[in-house]
Amino acid sequence: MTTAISLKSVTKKFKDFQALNEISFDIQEGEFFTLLGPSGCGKTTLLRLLGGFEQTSTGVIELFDEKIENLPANKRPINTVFQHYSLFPHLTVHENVQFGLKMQGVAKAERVKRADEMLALVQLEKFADRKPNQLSGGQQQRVALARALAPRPKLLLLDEPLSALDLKLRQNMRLELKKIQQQTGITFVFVTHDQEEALTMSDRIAVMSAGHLQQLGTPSEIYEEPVNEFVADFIGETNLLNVNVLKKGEHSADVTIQAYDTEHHDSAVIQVPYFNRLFLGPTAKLSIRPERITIGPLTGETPLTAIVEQSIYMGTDTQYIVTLNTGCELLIRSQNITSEKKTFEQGDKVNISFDLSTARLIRG
Amino acid sequence: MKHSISYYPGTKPITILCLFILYTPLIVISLYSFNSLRSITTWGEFTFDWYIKAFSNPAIQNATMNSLLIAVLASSIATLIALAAAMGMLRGAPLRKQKIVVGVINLPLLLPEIVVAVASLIFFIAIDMTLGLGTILLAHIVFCIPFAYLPISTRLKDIKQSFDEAAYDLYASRWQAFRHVTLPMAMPGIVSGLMLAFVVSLDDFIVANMVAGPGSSTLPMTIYSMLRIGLTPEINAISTILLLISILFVTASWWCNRSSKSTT
Repeated sequence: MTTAISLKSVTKKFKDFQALNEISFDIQEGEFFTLLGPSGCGKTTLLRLLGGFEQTSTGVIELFDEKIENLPANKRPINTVFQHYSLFPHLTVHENVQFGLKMQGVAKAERVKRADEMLALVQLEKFADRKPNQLSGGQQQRVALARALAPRPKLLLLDEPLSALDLKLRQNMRLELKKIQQQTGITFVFVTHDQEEALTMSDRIAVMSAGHLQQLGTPSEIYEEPVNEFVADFIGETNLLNVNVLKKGEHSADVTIQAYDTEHHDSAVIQVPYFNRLFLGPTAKLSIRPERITIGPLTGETPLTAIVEQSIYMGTDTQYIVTLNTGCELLIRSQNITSEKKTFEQGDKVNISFDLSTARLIRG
Repeated sequence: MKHSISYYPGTKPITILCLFILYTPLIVISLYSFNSLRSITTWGEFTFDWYIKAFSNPAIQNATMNSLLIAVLASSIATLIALAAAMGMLRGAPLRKQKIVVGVINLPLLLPEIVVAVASLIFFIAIDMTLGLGTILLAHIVFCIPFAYLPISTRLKDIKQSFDEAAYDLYASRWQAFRHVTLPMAMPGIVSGLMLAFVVSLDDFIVANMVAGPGSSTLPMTIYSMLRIGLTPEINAISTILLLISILFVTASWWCNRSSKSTT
């Protein structure tokens, strides 16, 4: 595989504010790559550095082995789908899509042909002669995509392009974006704060926080094997329990779930897998996804018993909030597989169990 | 709680009184420009004679040509300068004393016209310039700039910088981004500013009168000098035309700015 983009120790400072800190990673050609993080994490700054709208403070950006960090935006073979589209209001849809080609000096006949192709790709041929303000949000979004794709960029940047759309449309556009990316084979760098969006569309995700790269991996790696508390908490929902590490094996460790306060006691010893560096003592957290926990009627002595605090029916699932015998709260989601499946009510005493291989030890 | 202004007692009579005081003289002049009699108190019959007569008067013809020439040139040049100034103020990196610079650009709006007129005259004499159409043109360019600057800068402020970024992203050079994106998007403001400047130049009497040389009369100056002989229906006719041009341009200027609002 060829490397499309290579970031080497890229930093960006705005006066006293360090927006990006020593960011280094590669993006492969043809990849759907997502920069994910909460607002202010530096993902948009990184996108603007790639697009050429901001200058790197230090570090190197290579596009197919050519240094581009000092090229202005109009000299980079990279196009952007902007968050608010920024379609030119005085030009028709067709003229908007032609714009990049026109600036590159492509002959008119070729320009028109390529714009027609792009509008066909996003299924907006019928709207070619309209002005952008005569289109709906979803249609404007497609025009912005067609406009950015028309010059056949080596890299397409998408700056939270779905955030202005309503839920249903957003879900449709996710599938469509992914489809168009596969059809065109262009490398996409997608910025979002929406983890669901990131998980459903991306080949790989870079999770960012406070100007640092937290974790880079496929959606399942990020979800299943978060390297730290931030990633575990940010991607999906999770329960983070303080644990005491008693013994370290090669891939698993013996731990107890710490008591919430002095009135409670630590849980019995359980064995869980770990993937990162770990220290003995009360230094780690156990991350368990709510859907990986099984809730059942109380039967004899088990390591974990709990009392149901809240039971919320949500259609596909029932969500429980329970208090463990160690005093900590736990979020559990159980699928409503049959309509008459027994649910638990507030105050019920229950048994909690989980497949230990799905729990993760994380340094706290 | 906000009330419509008509909620307060007396709104209607005061409004009518104001409109009456403002517009009755104008309406009377306009009406009597079509009166076949020379009187402005008795109505004869409807006629276009005074318009025909006014336009066949060589002094008025000459003055009209002067006025139009100066208004076209002064408003065009002032608009160009105002556009450059607005781009510099709103699109460049902020200047250290930006507020003061904007204040200086707009100063002619606040200065008493007679002061501008006298100062211009003294200046032209000091640099030994021959008074004539050239001096009127220069003076008009200067005081037309703020009239063109205001609508242009208002419009430019409404155009988000992200459009520039989109243009650069799509391989436009700075000039291409200006030519293909900023300029067409700012056009309603530019046209509005141009028309406002045109009317201001066309209607100016005080400055033109002060810095004009012999034989370089503008239309308002000619109307004034004819008045000294006496009020004639010809003057009514010319005034009515000036009035119509002004209303037309100011309305068009307003309309340009208004219709452009919906595109942002």
